[in-house]
Amino acid sequence: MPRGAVMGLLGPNGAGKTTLMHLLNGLMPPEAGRLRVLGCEPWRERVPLQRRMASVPETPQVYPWMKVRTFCDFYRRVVPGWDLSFVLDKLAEYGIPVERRFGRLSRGQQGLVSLMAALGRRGEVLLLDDPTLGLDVLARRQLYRAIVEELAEREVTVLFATHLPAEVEGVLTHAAFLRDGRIELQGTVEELKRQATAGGSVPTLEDLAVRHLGGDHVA
Amino acid sequence: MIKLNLDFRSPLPLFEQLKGQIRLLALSGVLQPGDQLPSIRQLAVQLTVNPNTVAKVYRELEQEGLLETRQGRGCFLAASGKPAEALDGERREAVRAELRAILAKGKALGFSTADLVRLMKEVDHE
Repeated sequence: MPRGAVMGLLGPNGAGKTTLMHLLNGLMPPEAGRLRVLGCEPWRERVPLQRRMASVPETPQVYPWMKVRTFCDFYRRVVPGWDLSFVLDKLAEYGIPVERRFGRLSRGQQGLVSLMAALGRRGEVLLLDDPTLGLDVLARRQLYRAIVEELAEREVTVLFATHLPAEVEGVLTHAAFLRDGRIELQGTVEELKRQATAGGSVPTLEDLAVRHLGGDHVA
Repeated sequence: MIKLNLDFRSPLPLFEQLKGQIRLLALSGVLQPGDQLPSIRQLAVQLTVNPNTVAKVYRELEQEGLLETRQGRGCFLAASGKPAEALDGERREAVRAELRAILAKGKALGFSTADLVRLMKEVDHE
């Protein structure tokens, strides 16, 4: 991926999207092949690399009994360079009550806290593992808004796993289609669409996902 | 808030669509000289598109003289110094761009140009 790209990672459940995210996060070593993030090997250079990247997991990893504010203070202590004032400003902007326990927030608010915690790292690379999974349309909108605002503010390279390519097609510069642990197809969105255009009919990314990944893709 | 529609099945890339539609809003008078456009960030959020796409659209429209950026205040529709004939030419080009997209779609569906002209008249009479 070139720097500043926003790549959609599309694939059916079980294709390996989360495994790829774990590999990129250095949570497990690759069984074969080579993996590089910002020129580093995630498994061997996890600690220095984690200061330059951030990750939003599929389900937020926050204790439900913890108040948002306590969680933020905890994060600031354990994550070097974590920008507390940025995160608190953002949480206020999105109307998240920081004195509330995480478990008492709506799913959408939990997703936003999880995203803001990642953005607080101010990393060069952002991994999004289907952060809108299970959220209603308004909550998804809020999350997209936060992501677009981040892109407007600074250059960040994003790998965005999603089940809803139609909703984020406009944000993506690139797309990769993952099936059975392999990238079937990848390229810039413009290129992928042009190559697949037939008789004046232009496919959307979702059409391409269905074509290349089988009908079970669209959630 | 200006109204823009993106079509992910259009043969035109997103940034061409945005550019064309903003140009059209200006040519049709919906946007008047001196009107402020949404910021790159606002428009990107509104449409859920990459801010770099909006930035590219604004940059190119600025180069064409349609928009002007006032430092720290935002992006505005430029006062047009262009003669009427030039504006007329731009209006025609804007419609041509739309027609090209319709023709491409129509031909893909098996219609001849004559069929499409007939259809257009029918629609106009609805």
